[in-house]
This record gives sequence, structure tokens and C-alpha cells, in this order.
Amino acid sequence: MTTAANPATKGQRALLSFSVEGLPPREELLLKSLVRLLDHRTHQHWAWKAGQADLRVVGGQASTATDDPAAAVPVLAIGQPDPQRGGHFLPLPLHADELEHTLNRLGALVVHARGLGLAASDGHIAENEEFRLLRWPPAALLETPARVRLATLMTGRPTSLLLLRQRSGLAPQDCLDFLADLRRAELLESARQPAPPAIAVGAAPIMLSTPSAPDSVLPVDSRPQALARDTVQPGLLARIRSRLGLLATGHK
Amino acid sequence: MTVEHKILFTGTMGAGKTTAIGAVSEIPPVSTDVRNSDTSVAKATTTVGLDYGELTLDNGEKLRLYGTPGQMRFDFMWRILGRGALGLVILVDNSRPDPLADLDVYLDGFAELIAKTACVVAVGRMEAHPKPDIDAFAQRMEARGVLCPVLPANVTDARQVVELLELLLLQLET
Repeated sequence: MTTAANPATKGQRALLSFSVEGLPPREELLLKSLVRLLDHRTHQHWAWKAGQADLRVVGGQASTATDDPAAAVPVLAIGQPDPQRGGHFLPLPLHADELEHTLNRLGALVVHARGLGLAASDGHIAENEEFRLLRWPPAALLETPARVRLATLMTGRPTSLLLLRQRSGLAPQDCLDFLADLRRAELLESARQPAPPAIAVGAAPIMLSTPSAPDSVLPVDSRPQALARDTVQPGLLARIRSRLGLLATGHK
Repeated sequence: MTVEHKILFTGTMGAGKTTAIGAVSEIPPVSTDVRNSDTSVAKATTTVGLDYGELTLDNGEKLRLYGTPGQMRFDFMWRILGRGALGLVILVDNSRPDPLADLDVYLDGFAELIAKTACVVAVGRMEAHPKPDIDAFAQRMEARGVLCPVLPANVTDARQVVELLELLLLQLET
């Protein structure tokens, strides 16, 4: 695998590798052929590699989980559409334009991480390690409703992989992939570090300005500590969800 | 006594507050519209007081949906309406001259409510007006110290309004 210490390039393009697991032989062959055919169009040069690569492409016959569940290599699942599936996904049959778009997006993520000095294998995420989301993620990381939900769950307070799984009801690998993508994009911060300038909704206000005094911003050092969010009456959220017809989707 | 809960919709004139409330309210939204005298906005009427809709929960309690008056000259009402609200949906009209500045107005005007409860920013008319993009809004919010969902939305679609409300509820779970 290429790493930050070994920033391989082909011309002006980064050289990235992908591995394939669990795809039927025909689809695997087609995928590899399409990647070669698209080489003049993709923003990065992609090459197949056995074993650990910059991107794992997995089919329905393979688990999206890694042997090392904390390894933060992006995973592209290929198979039958599943509306509940999070993460990066392409349906079968493969279409060249969708594959090109997806490779460009994932390639940009990997290259961005390289620019930040992060090797793909440098993203170990422990179940109980708490992270703080630094800002709302770019659209490229929120391609499914499930990911929008995950990001929303991270806006209020530091969240661990375990909490995210419990609160979202999504598959562990989907949560892990999302955290890994956020980390690659440098949008996560360990909650053990000092509080960042940006605060979550429901936390302390940094801007105390009003329309009549728009410039009254507190100095960073005098920012108040996080306010407790107003307590919500027990059962109220479930009743609202029920009224809105949202409970059938498995909300907790 | 009936227990009441409320969610606020705010945003610029013409951003779709009345439409969003009407998309989910079980009663026709009650609006206090008057003839629009602001020639900068192509709109026959505008809300000078508030919009109101409601949902009855299964225990008889009411969830009240309020749309704030859009114009800043009515900002005194924002604070009145914000008291005790569960959360806030900010609707931004991307076809306006400076949607990011519009967002600033509401982040400032509802700063206290946003800090204490939940907030979602929904950007409308992005198909015809893709700039600024969602990331620009996220960056603006980051610069102003606010972290909450920001996403494109068409509030004429009831499902999308429900999704916005769901994102508010998710934040309240913490």
C-alpha cells in the first residue's frame, strides 16, 4: 500500500490500489477491466492489488468487516441495493460512469488523508474511544440517509463507535466506515483533547451576538462551559415519531 | 391542562416556512399574511405575525409548529416564540442574493435557542441555484461556532419536512 511516506504518483496523479473480495469471478473481472478502461478519466490511477490496499472492494459474498476491525481502509460494497446500507456502495450491474464517480470520490478521500500525513492504516478506532465531530461533513461523505443520521448523532456530544452503533441501529461496519472516513477527512477529534472552537448545537454558545449587536463575540478564552440541553419529557420523542410515521424505520 | 410542545421554523421571507408547516400539520396552517410591500421579493403576501400548525400526539398532547415572521424587523417575536421550543428549523432560500448572510441572521437571532436545543438548516432551491453549496454553509456555521445538520431540502415534499424533524429529534436524544 502506498503511504504518506511513499506518495507514489503517475504523472500528476496519485497511484492508489484496490483489493477485491467476495465478488463473483465474472464481476471481479468486469470491475478490473472497467477500472483499466477508466484510467484515462479517473482522477487517480487505480491498480488492483492482492491483500491490503488503499481501498477494499467487497461483494455480497464477503463481509465488509475487516480482520482488524479498527483498520480504517475505505470499503466499497458492490451488490444488490439495500436502502438501509450505509457507507460506499455500487449496485450490480456495474456502470462505468457510477464507478468512475465513486472511484474519484474515494480517491479524493484517500489523497486528502495523505495530504494530512495520515496513512490509510493509521486510523485505528477503539470501540470506546470518544470523538468529537469538528464540523458538518461535506456532501461526499453523506451520500446516504444513514450517514446523515450518523453525522447528526455526532453533533451533540462526543461519541464513541459503541454509542454510535447503539444509537443508530446501523451495522457496526457502517458506523466504523463512517468514523474512518471522517477521520481521513480530518473532521474528527479525540474527545480527550481540549474543546475545539466549534461547538455543537445544544452546547455552549460562542456567538452571543444579536441582530442589534452583531459583533459582540466573546473571546475564545472566556467562552462559557457547555450548557446542559433542556431536558425532554420522557416518551415525548417516541410520541412525536409515532405521529410523524417514523417509528416503522426502527428508531430507538 | 393540555401539555404543549413546540418546534419553530424560521428563515427568510419566501423560504417556505408556511409551506413546511402545512406539509406536516394536521390542520390547515393558520397564517397572518398581509399584502407584501417589500418590492425586493416577488411574493404577493408575507407573514407578519406567525404561522401555526399542530399535531396531536397519541396521549392528547399537542406539538405546535410555529413559523416565525421572516423579516428581521420582527425579530422581537423570535425570542418570544423561541421560549420553551424543542428545536429550530432554519430554512434558507438559495436563490436570494446572499444566502450565507441570511443564515448568519438566524444563527445570531436564535443563538440562545440553538445553544440549548436542536437545530437543522435546510437549504432550498438548490437545483436552480447550486451556489453556495452545502459545504459553504457548513463552513460558515463552523466559523460561527455552530454544529448542526445542514442539507438541501424541498419543503413542498412532506417527506423531506419529516426528515428534517427527525434530524431535530435525533439531536434531542443526547
